[in-house]
Amino acid sequence: MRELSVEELLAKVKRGELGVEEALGQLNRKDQTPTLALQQAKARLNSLVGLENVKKLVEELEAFIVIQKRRQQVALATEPLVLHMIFSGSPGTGKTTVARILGELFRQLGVLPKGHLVEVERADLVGEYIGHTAQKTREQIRRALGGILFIDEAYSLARGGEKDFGKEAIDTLVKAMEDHKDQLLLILAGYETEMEGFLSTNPGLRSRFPIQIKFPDYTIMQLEAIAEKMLSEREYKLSKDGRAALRRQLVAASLSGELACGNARLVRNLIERAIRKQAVRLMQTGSSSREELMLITAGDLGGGEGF
Amino acid sequence: MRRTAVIGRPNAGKTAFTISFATYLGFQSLRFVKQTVEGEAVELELSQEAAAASLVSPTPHKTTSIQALELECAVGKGKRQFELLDTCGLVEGIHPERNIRLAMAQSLQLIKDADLVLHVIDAAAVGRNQDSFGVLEEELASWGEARGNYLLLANKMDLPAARAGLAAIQSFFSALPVIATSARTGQGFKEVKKYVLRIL
Repeated sequence: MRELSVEELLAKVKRGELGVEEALGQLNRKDQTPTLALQQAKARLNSLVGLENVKKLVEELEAFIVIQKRRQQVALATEPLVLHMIFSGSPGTGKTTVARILGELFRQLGVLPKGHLVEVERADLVGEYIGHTAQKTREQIRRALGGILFIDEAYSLARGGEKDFGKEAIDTLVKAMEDHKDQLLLILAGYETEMEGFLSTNPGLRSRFPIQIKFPDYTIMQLEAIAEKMLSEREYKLSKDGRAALRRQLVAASLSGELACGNARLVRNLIERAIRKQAVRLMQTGSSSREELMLITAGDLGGGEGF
Repeated sequence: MRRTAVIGRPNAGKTAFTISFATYLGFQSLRFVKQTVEGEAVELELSQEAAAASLVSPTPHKTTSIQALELECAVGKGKRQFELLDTCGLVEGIHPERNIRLAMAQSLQLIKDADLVLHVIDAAAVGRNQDSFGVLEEELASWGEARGNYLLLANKMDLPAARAGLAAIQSFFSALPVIATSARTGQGFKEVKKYVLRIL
């Protein structure tokens, strides 16, 4: 049965379709379900491969938020919750994934009313003529109210020198951070070195983002674990020689430097290509036992036409 | 303004408590704002005696709308303002009268929204009949534990049977704070005031 909203429950009480104690009971369980959703969000975070520093930080933040709330209940002084963050790391290291889970977590903890993620980049914020930028940026901020505004490759807002409109976007963002303190969480993401340069040229920014998380490149072993996880989520599995072929490919990619600019995304592409190749192979051989439908072999992973 | 809801079964003494608590805080004349179930707001200014005479009654379900009182309390050099909201009594099941159903829905909504809930229980009635707790109390107790800011008032302590009732209330609501009060004698009002001011 679909869960009724508070209004619907009360309307039923009014119409005499539901007893007072039943309505209370349902309201009760409604208040307690968020803890389940909270646990699910945390479970999703903890199931991510690696990212130990992120998991530890999230635990700290959760404890901090819960305790601040309890302090508020007994009327003790509370610290303001400033949770704007900087995510630095190469592409495919899990920045967006973590941001999305954080949104859900913060919603369940009552920090953000909606917890959705709005992903933008320079082109979404910076306009073409004077005055256009503030308007565009404010529009994105409005969309993100109640959730997280995730700015990918945020350092690009500062490129282009003095006359560039990126500066105006930064100013508008800083103002919004003050104006919508309780409703907006800003995450700036990008490559580590570029982000470092961006922050050092805008010293006021660093202090506004108290939480800085580094997303390190995955090791080959972690990428293997990610591949296995992706496959099992899709109900596939690797054969023994398939596993060896995967490792060979990852090592080759790491040597050519491809790995550092793809990380988990590179693995995903590898896996998806293997799944397509497996389909072609099965069509040719005509076999379709349950086992065969699941198995990815070395042949599916091989073939060196790049990613 | 922070809102404190006074809830409980019919005839627990919610209205009597509201009136005498306001008097205890030093209000001679009480300005009630009745929020009727139809959504109207009716203002009503009464002296303490007149309010007690016209709003309190031994028949259950005398109160069929939310009666809000704006109160203030001197705290140090300043004042703290809050709203005390007297509500329609809650009973289990589906009430045959539409008006009372509407009013109870109003009470439920308020329990959900209020910053602090004062749950008034007739301790004398509990003392006379030990099994007077039902599903309603169970649900309210588990709700109170989950939400916090939930205070139980074992009311009518001036009656002889109430002593046994207080013990029963304390053991039933073991995880929640209980204060013994009497709307008639003013017993326990000091503790209630302290608790209210700490939360609001």
